[in-house]
Amino acid sequence: MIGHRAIFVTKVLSILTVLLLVAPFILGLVSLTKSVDVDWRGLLAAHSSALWNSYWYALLSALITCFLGLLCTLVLFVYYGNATRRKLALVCLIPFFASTAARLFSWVLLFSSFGAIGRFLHFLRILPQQESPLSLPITLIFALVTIYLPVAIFAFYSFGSTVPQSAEEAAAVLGANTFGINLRIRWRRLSWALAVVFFFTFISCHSAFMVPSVLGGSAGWFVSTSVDYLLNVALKRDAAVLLSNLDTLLVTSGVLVIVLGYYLVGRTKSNRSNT
Amino acid sequence: MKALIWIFILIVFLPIIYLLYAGLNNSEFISADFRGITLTWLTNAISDPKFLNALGFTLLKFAVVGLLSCFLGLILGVSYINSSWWFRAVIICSLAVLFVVPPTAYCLNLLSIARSVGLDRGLFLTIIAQTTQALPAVAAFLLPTLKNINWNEFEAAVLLGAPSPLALWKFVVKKIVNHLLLAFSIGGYISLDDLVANVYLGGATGGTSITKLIWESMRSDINPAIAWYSLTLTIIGAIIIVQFARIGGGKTELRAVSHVRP
Repeated sequence: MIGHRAIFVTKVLSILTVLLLVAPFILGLVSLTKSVDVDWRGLLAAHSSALWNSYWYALLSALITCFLGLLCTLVLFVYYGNATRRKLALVCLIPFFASTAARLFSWVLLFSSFGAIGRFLHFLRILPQQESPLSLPITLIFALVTIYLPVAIFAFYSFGSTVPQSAEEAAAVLGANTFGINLRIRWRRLSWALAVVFFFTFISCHSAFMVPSVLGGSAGWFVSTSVDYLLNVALKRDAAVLLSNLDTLLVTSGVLVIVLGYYLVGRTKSNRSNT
Repeated sequence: MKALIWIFILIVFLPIIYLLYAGLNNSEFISADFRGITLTWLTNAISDPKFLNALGFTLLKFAVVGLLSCFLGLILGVSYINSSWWFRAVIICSLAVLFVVPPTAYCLNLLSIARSVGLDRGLFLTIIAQTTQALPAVAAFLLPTLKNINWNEFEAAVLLGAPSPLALWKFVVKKIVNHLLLAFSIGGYISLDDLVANVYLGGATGGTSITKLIWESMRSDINPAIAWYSLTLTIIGAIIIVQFARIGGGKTELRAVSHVRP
């Protein structure tokens, strides 16, 4: 391995990096514990819809993204050969790296009352003329899903393709149909991908700022947009900081409980299998 | 069922196709019907000093954040593979926290800390915040790569009398140079795609990135030149795809991608 001195130096640098970068998070939690005299009930009542929207639409978007991503990946595995499958997975990934602002701008144009989709919806009388598709909650979910779907497909493909070819062939010889093979053989790997994609999409949608600011109307009233409002319109910096820190506490403790629960369940299972 | 994947591809590509259409359409109203092809909006965008200034700032941040996050990711990665379990746990937990914390909360608290030490909004704080956002993705990408390096070759070369920098270059860096480039691109992409740090921490001296320019134009003055601003970002993002294609899509890439958060 590398010299002891070099390892020591990298460890010290690592500790400094971690301390420096995590400091704002720790400060946020500390400031939250110090603010005991705050009217929590009032704060929660004023921003409960923002908290609810942040979690609810993030959850919905994550679930839909996972479902569609899984469906697309299964279609890839069932109907396409190895080489085409890989190329298609990479093609799917391209829009993910095409900047969120760029894609959002395009969706805003398409969904506005003058845009192609907006006009089409009005033409079909799905939407009344006076209502803009931009303010519909479904538009918000659609935009969030299309932003994260490319990476979901690529993630499912990457995990799913780690199954050995021989296992697929063996299952086919034993009479399993193609959908059955793919679901059964790849399920173990895909379930990992499902957890990763769900976690990633949920966290990303929950802290999204750009998309809910312009899409979804009142549904786009997320914590991030509320914080922006408190800071720049209502000019209540303390309330903004408090709300954002409260949200951070909720989301990190939620993730911690899930990870810890998963770890404990896994440990109990392995203990049982050992005995 | 086979067509399903093409429908999805069409849907996820639709925004990019539409940007191209809006950027080339000979109409000053961006949502108008097709009225012929023009390059006026492209020339308008290129000759706009605001856009050129934003492009400069965006590329500067791309490079600085990419380099910084790559460097810090390497440090964290090297110390991770040479540490005991508790040190590893600390690193992983810290990276997880950095990923989970909403950017708005992080930026507000960072600004409070900065003000308490006499710093104010500007480019420096924006770069710190963007590096923090990029670090989980970059580190998650570099960790498996660093784990797979055969350090014995490097050690043997040094023991046999090769100069350390040469041995490091030949047996370590040369083998992971493509991964380092991709890690750099991922770090840079996160800075490119970020809006929150630009808005909350940029201030007057932080400069306007292209993302911020699109954001501001979207709220006040929508014109077809914005389509070209957006397409510029898309082209920069395409560089990352080229990197992906070069080193091949696999599990390590997936880990990195799954941490990239707009």
